[in-house]
Amino acid sequence: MKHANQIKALLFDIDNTLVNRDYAFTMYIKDFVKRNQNSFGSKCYDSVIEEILQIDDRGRFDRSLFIEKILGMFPGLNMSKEEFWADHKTLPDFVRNEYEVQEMIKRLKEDYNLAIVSNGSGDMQRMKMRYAGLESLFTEYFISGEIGIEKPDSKIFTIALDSLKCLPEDAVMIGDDMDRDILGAKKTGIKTIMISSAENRRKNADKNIADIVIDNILELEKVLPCLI
Amino acid sequence: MFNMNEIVGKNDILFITFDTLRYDVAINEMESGRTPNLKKLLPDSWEKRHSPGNFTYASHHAFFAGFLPTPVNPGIHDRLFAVSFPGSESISPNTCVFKTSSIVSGLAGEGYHTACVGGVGFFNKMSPLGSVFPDMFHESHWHRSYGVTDPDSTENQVKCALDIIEKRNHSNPEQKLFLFINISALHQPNCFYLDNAKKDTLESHGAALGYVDSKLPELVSAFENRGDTFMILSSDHGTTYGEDGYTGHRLSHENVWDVPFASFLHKGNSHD
Repeated sequence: MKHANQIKALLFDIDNTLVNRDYAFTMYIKDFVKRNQNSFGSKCYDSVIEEILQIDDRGRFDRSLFIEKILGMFPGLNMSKEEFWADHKTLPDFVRNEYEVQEMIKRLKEDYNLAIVSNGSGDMQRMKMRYAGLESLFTEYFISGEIGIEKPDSKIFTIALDSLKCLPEDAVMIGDDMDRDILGAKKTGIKTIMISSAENRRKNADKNIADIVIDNILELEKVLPCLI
Repeated sequence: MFNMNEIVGKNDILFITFDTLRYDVAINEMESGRTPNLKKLLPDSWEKRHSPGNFTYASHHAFFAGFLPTPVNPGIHDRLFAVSFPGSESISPNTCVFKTSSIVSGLAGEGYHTACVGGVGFFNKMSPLGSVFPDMFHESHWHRSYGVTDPDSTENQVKCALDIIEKRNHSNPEQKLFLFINISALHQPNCFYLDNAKKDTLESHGAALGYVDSKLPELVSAFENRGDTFMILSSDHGTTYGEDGYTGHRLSHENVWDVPFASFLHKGNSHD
């Protein structure tokens, strides 16, 4: 069923929007610490995991700086940056199959043009989508590692809109990052839906500029008709 | 026995198989107070039953066809579920009978969302054989961190189950859920649950159950928040640790065919 509003295209972020990146990263780090358990001195398993999760900052901390920082903090790892990066690239292996999201995307495809607008390495982001069972549901991918432009730069949004032959006001960006997804899309004239927990919403109430905020991606279909 | 025709369609169903759990170990751990969370769920303790199979594949095929472990006293025992089968004598008016080939597809036909969190190799989806059970469900999940070699397997499996429940609560909270979990932690190897143990023993098998028990409250609580839940907790088969010269399972020995079992309606939190 076509919705009454003029929305023609939906642009999606990947991490913690379509894919539960928090879950995958926590599982990966637990596995990494377990595999290298003799490299952390007398520190206990849980505190090492907690420290690494804090530095990761839900994936927002630059990856090359993240790798440098972890190797600096835990010299016992005795790994080169390249070795750690190769290990880190196994993160998609921990991504959960997103059955509910797959079903929702299949329904949305009937009414809207869909595209991915994501920061990160092309290999890694596509692999996450594959493990989540979502890769083949999208044909349009705009990933910073492949096109050389990162969110929040307006150009990445403009490239996506041009490819979809869609005006900014007829598109919606859906993401979890205020700076990269919401501010970036806003300044391009795109409508925005932010995924944010109730707790984050309370903390950042004064900073929120998204048109709509939802708890979970699965609420998307319910709120789309409200965007006019 | 419950009238399953009054439960199906009205309540969520949680079916957990504690893969390889021995009856004597389950009883011993409960009586020693090392499984306090299971004790809360099962104030009358585990029931001793005979498994219809002596290894995972055989047992689960029977379970999903409606043949849960059989009470040990002689006689004909009514079943909770059945798929229609001419001539069956264990179908009673209280049995929920489906006209499908499995109770999973039967429950789907009754409007349930069906989800599987795999554990041991027969659920790993890495081969056609490992996909037989997962493919019965609307959604199925397996990761090596849910498998027998990961000491945190139950914690990881419960995380996955909680994520499924949370997503259902967002996408379709009214639809009833049939969640199946195959707990892998009790299966060999289990020596890592006992300090300094180098090989699997009855003691490490018991320690593994203590670990599993510690991870259950969050799962139970998530179901309580959804309402009343019909729970089936069962082992699929036991195993041997040298008794009468036998080691392992897929063999017929009382330590393999005797299994702990429980089924009950667990009250949810009132939303009045």
